[in-house]
Amino acid sequence: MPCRRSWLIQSVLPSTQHQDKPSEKADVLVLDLEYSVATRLKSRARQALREQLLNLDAIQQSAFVRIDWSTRWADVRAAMYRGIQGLVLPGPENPEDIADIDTLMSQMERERGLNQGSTQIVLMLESARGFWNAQSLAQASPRVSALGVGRIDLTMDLKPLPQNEFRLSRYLMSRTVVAARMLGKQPLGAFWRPGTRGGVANPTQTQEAAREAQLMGYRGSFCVNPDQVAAINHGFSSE
Amino acid sequence: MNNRVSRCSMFVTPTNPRFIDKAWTRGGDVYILDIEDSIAPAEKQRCRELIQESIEKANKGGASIYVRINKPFVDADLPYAVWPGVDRIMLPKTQTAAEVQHAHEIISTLEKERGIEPGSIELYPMIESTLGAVNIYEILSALPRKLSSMGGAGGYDMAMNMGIEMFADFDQYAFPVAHVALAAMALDIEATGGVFVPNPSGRVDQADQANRQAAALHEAGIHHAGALHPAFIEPLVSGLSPTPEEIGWAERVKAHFECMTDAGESVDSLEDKIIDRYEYQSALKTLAWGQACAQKDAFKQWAKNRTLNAPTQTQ
Repeated sequence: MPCRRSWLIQSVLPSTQHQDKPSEKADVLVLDLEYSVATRLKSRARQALREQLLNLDAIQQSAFVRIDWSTRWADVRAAMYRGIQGLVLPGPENPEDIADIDTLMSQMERERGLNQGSTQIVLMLESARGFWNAQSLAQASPRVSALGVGRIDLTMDLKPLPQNEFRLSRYLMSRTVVAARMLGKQPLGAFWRPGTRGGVANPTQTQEAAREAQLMGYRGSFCVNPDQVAAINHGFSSE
Repeated sequence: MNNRVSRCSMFVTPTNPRFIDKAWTRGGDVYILDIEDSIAPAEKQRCRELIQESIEKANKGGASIYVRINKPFVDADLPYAVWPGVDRIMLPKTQTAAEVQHAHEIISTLEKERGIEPGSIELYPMIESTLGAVNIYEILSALPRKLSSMGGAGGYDMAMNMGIEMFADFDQYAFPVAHVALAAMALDIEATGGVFVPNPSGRVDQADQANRQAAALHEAGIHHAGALHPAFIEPLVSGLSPTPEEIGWAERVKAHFECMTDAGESVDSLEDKIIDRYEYQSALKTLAWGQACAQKDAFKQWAKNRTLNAPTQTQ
């Protein structure tokens, strides 16, 4: 298994924000069709994917695509091209949905000459139902390679506790790492602290969040800013 | 809408005139008429017979009324607890789905007999043991009836069951509380929730502890709390309502997000903060909660005035 500590999420479309190149290469680049693409630009983003995946393949940059759950069928079709290593599915809740996506991925692999079963699935948990079903979600397809915790403070509107952590976050992180380890999946997530809400964590906060997650059993995390990549790589280093 | 707001729900003992007669003047959102742990075994029957008139007494200030029954006496208690004017039945020490199912059937029969809208009385399984915490998902998905959940599983009985120290300076209830809250959230059941606030003193009547608890709950986004002492009512009722600053910010976020969405943007900034769909959803929740609190407060004021202006014999 390649080393996949830092998962840098970047819009498929050129953006006015976050254009800096990371000082360190991200272990995985996640091309985003979801949060960072406005609804009216989705179809343009889908069209741009194929070429971007080819370019990344040429420079041997590991690439995943995060799809938008509400447009998952169109997004999966747009993403399944040479160069893709896997899909990041945000906010999954029902195991049957994962099985359906798996079927579509198999079909795309056949049609487009990709190795059968080679495209992975990373589940990014973002809702109470998803966390409750974490284990059965991870078992819903043999493609699932990682179980990730999204920015639950935002997606689940979890607010701060007096202990300077988000409500339920310790339990949700613990529950997820147990499910991931039990099933041999990579646990992804960082233990974000209050104070980074409404903004993106700076490198110091990011490294602390990664370090704490590493101590909880996690082995990588998503990030949005290029300057978080080095912090995550260091936070998840073994020494 | 009014009975959705329970910033402070306080236990009152119907057998003690000093408590029950004054309760309505204290300003609580909810009074819980207790037939359970605050009532001695020899007093249980007298207490049951006082419930119906206690409803009238306790809601004179616009409060909602819950009744807490006894787990071993569900069949005996419910006929004295299910009346018009009761919003919720609290079922203590719930451990299995069969228990809530049994209570649901009795309540349904009584609703029919007493002209209460079927299914309108909420059932509130109280999780106070490890078995209840483990079975929470089945318990909360057992019924067609509307359920609430404490979204937590702390308290004295849980401490006894788990063999833990109740008044510690760390969160010894972390797992059962979060486990129960997650199950409720996964089932879209309103969870009242709780937040660990260190209280090694073990006292439950101090206003400064009430203020600390209210501030912690507010910060954590939790809207409901229980109280054992009237000193907790005012700090919780005002402390769990949104502040004018929070309402103002939520209004600005809402307006800004709706404009930027019209313009096709998904992320923008306002006053140095990132504005996106998450901030927008959070703002909508703040506004809805603020509106619900304002309605409840207006209703309580109206009910209180009506009682004060009524002829003496009805007070």
